[in-house]
Amino acid sequence: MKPDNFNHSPVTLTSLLETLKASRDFHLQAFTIAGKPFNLFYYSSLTDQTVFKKELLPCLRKAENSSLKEITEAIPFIEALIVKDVKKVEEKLLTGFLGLNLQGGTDECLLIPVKEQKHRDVTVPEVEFSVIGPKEGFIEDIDTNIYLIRKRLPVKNLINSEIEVGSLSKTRVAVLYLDGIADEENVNTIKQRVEDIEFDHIDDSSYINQLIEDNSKSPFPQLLDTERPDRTAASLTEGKVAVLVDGSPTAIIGPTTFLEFFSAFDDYFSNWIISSILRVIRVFSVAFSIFATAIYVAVLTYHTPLIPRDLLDTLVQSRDAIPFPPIIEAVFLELTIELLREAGARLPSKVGQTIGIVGGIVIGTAAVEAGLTSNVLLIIVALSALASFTTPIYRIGNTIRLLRFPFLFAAQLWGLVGIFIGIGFLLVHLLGLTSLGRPYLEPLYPLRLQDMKDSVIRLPFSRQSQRPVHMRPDNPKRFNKQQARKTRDIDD
Amino acid sequence: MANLIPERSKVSPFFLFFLIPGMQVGVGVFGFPRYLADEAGFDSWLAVIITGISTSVIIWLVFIILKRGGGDIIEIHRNTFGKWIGGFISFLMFLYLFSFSLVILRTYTEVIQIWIFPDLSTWSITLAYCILAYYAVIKGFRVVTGLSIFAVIISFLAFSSLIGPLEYIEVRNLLPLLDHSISEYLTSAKTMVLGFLGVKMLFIYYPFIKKPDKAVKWAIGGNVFTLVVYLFVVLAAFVFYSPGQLQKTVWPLFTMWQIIELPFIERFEYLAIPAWGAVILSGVCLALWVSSRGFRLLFSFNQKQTLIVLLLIVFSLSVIFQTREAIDRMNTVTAEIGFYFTYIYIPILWLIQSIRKKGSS
Amino acid sequence: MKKLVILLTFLTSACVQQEIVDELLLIHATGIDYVDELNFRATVSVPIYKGDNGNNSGEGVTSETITAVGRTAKNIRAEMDSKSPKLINNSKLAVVLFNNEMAKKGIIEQGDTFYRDPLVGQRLYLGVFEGSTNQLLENQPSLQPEISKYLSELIEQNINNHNIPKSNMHVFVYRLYQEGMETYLPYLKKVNDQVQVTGVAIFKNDKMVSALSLEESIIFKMLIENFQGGTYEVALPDKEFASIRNLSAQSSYQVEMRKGMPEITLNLRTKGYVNEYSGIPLDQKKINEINHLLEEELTVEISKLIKKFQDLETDPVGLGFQVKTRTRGWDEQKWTDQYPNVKVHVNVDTIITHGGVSD
Repeated sequence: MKPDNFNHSPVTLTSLLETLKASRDFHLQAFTIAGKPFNLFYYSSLTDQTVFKKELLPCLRKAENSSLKEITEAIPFIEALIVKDVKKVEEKLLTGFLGLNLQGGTDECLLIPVKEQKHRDVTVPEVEFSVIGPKEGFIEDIDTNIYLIRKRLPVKNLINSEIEVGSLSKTRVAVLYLDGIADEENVNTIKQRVEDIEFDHIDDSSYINQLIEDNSKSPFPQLLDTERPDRTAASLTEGKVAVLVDGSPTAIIGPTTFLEFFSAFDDYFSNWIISSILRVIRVFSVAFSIFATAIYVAVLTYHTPLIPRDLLDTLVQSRDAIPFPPIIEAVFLELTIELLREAGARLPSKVGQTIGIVGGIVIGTAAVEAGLTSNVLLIIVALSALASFTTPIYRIGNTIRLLRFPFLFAAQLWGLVGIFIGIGFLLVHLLGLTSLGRPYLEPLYPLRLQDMKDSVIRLPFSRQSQRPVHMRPDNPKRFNKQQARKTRDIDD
Repeated sequence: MANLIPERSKVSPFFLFFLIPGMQVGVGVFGFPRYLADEAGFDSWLAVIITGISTSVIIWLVFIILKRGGGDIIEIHRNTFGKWIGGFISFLMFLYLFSFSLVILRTYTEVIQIWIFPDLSTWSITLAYCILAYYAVIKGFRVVTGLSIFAVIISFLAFSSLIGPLEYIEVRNLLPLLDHSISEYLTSAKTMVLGFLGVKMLFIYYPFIKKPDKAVKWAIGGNVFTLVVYLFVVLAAFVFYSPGQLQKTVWPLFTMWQIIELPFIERFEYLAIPAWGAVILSGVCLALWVSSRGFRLLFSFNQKQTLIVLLLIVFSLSVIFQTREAIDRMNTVTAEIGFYFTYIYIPILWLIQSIRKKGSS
Repeated sequence: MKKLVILLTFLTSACVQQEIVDELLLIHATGIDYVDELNFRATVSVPIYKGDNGNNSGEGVTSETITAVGRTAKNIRAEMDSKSPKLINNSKLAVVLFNNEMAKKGIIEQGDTFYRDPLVGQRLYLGVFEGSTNQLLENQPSLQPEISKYLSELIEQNINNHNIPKSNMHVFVYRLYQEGMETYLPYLKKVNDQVQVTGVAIFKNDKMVSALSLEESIIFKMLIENFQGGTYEVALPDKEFASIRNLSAQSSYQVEMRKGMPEITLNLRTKGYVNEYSGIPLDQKKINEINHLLEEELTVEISKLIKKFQDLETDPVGLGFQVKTRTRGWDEQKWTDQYPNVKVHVNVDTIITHGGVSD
């Protein structure tokens, strides 16, 4: 058996340098400072060569003293540090530090941060785009993301506690919350869960999201993910906890509720009446999206009495030439739509659009003309596909599209009775779900009328003087409600 | 015992407003105006009020009994009747509460079989509901309570739909008022008992209520809600049907729904009956939760395993009771036992408790 | 694997019979004819769709009939099933017509079958047709190629226009089983090759005893229901006439007991305006005159109608119901004996609001 090379770490600096030399981008060179020979070693791929050559080298050359301590003072890098522990040296080298060590001396190293900073600029959020309001989106760099949030919340209470996750990826995970507002229990839960993660490689916040969810067997996302710094900041002020992950342009926010997935951040930018109506429309469109096809199948397969007589003529005529039962028809069309969506998502955006239009029109028309599906069903399926895209959070949209299929089969088995048994399962499932231990269906159940102010409807800001009860915030008051103004009479 | 219940499993007293009707408004509501009219004719809406009010009194008694006894019915029985007899009475009570789940489920599946799917096999639909009930009950009391909220909302919507047949009502049907003897009203009121059962479930879920001493008003409020709903349904049926027609109609509620015509839905009852599944689910789950909890406390069983055994019993008995007659008899027997348990046993228990208390002080 | 087998057996045995909408033969209208003492003949009309994939919906629907003779509904159903290529389904039944011979013989048995069938809705129109319903359903009227739609629209229209009182299955069954009240149905006849509603068939229990004309029907309607928007024509002296529009009627009853014999006072309040008047000019004086004549005419007509009902020993107005709801311990038998001799006072109070827009 081979010795466990992987977890074995070199004990001395020399052996460490020997190991690291196996990589071509690791440089080890001799360098003389104040007449003494030093080893200079670094990963060229991880270090910023410009900084290294233009700022660090001249300083090192000019250095008059050869002790590491004095060199530290001579160079303009505050984060430089002297380390004896070989393991620590290894770690730092791998995150973009440059090492300096007296040849033939001890293992003591001077580590200078010359990190390469490569990331894209802050751009417009793509999934949660809004027509009005801020246009910043998170990017892959965690420091930039934290900056974006701090810029919006310049208070000392904004605490960032960082945890490193992933035995290989060593990903930085930042848990952000407003001290004194966020419930300590929530903060501790989330920290505990992040710390408990046993996984080697964290690529994105969605990894963390799935690993810390309350119930990973549920198709419903139990933590909100957003790419908007403004939404994150607003959530923090409500007493929620945000998690940022290095290398991921989405933040995770918890605890959340089911209804929150139907609120777009735009809702806060427009008038409360308009946004309330939009939210109601969204909820209805989601219900339509889940149930429409299933109801079509149920009614046409079993419940003829339900159909009004005049509508019946249209339905029967549209189905007259079709050789399949409604369920086959429906599954066929639903799968086609899913296919189009999936193809559209994989293809470059310009081609994707074309495929969508061509596929939608051509396949739809052809299917109807060939007598494979009825045009009534085509309308229903297309509408319900459209309706599923009204959810502002992408992940819940996927859940909704997926949910259609069980309902479709339930409808085929027992018609409306089957659909309502399905609703029973869905209801029980949702009632049992929690987000960080807080009920998922709040404020519907447990019924909290106070929190209704920002749920299916959104009341004006003047009515939002309290933070959601749901979060059990330490400091429930958002602002001091102004003394109720004396109601003015006409023409006063 | 009450101290052991974790805070997160408890619900606020407000939810009693839903828990009480969530059990009461089950399947009895489909047919009760007909049975009611058998005795006191179209005067018998008065019976609904009599039963409703007397049930409210019983709820109040239940709260007194529980408060004195520290909220644990098994303990109360043990102290009152001794270890063995008390335990036996507790056992009978849980068995009786358990029978609700069977009565409700079987009656509902029968409705589906007669009205929607004549060739639906009993076992398959029962199995589906049993799995659903299992899924709900293992999630604990909070989920069961949540279901009762939806049950109350759906039943409320279903009953408000009875405004639909408004164009066919004849208010004179109710006249002349009070044209029957008191004994007829009382017999009528006894038929109504099936609609107000489930009060005894309080004995079990009482410790799950936060601040139970403040809960009595919500419990009675929920009972009054049931009373109002029943009164509305029975009055709607009496002004809609003629007496002879009502006798000919097996399920007055459905036939009333039949006359509702919406632009999208020609026959409302085909939507309402499947939707009623959510209402009965609440009742079935509550009964199962309460009885499995009761057996767990009484015999120190594992509640999950008890639940599975209970579900197996529900399932096999449902399949055995096949004829209308058997199901009808099952309903009647449950109502009969319920009557004695609720309106005779509870006052007696209260009386004994009061006498003992006086004696000891 | 084991789970899969269980699931599959569940799915196969849990299935219920599918009734896919285009694989059903949906009965839209039924006609029931008298054959002899024991048998009756049922004719059902089903729609035939000729549309190509719904592109011209509404058009291309015609009807076809299936006929069966039998003793019970069950027999007939069995015979029809044997004649039908698809599953027969009652759920879209809109009209059931009994021929007048059948109606005179009693229709409780057939009516009950429809009332008890959960598939049949309560808004089903029942009616009595003079002649063979079989022939009626077999031919296709030119105005609306689908005969059942034609018939149901015809009845609906006559009810909405306040020619005949409200009627459907619920109303029929309600009155059939109400104490002190008899039931009625729309009466249809073929006049000059055109089906029309000619009045109301009056029943005693479940047997038809008489048919009212359209003029009598509107008077009858005034007695049993409150409505607005009717029309009534008054004949004036000198062959003049006036048509009252937007006529509203509201009837109320008072019952007094005199020596164990109920005496009923009927108060009818009507309101409307003169829309058409053959003579000129129409001044307030004339309006008052019309008003007076209308009152007189209605009083006479109503008394006549009630007398007619009393002679027939049937009580479709529901006078018995009025007495019952005002008496404690009402005895139905006693009332039936008293009914032909009960005194009914008629008070008509009419208001004519104005003489139309032209004045």
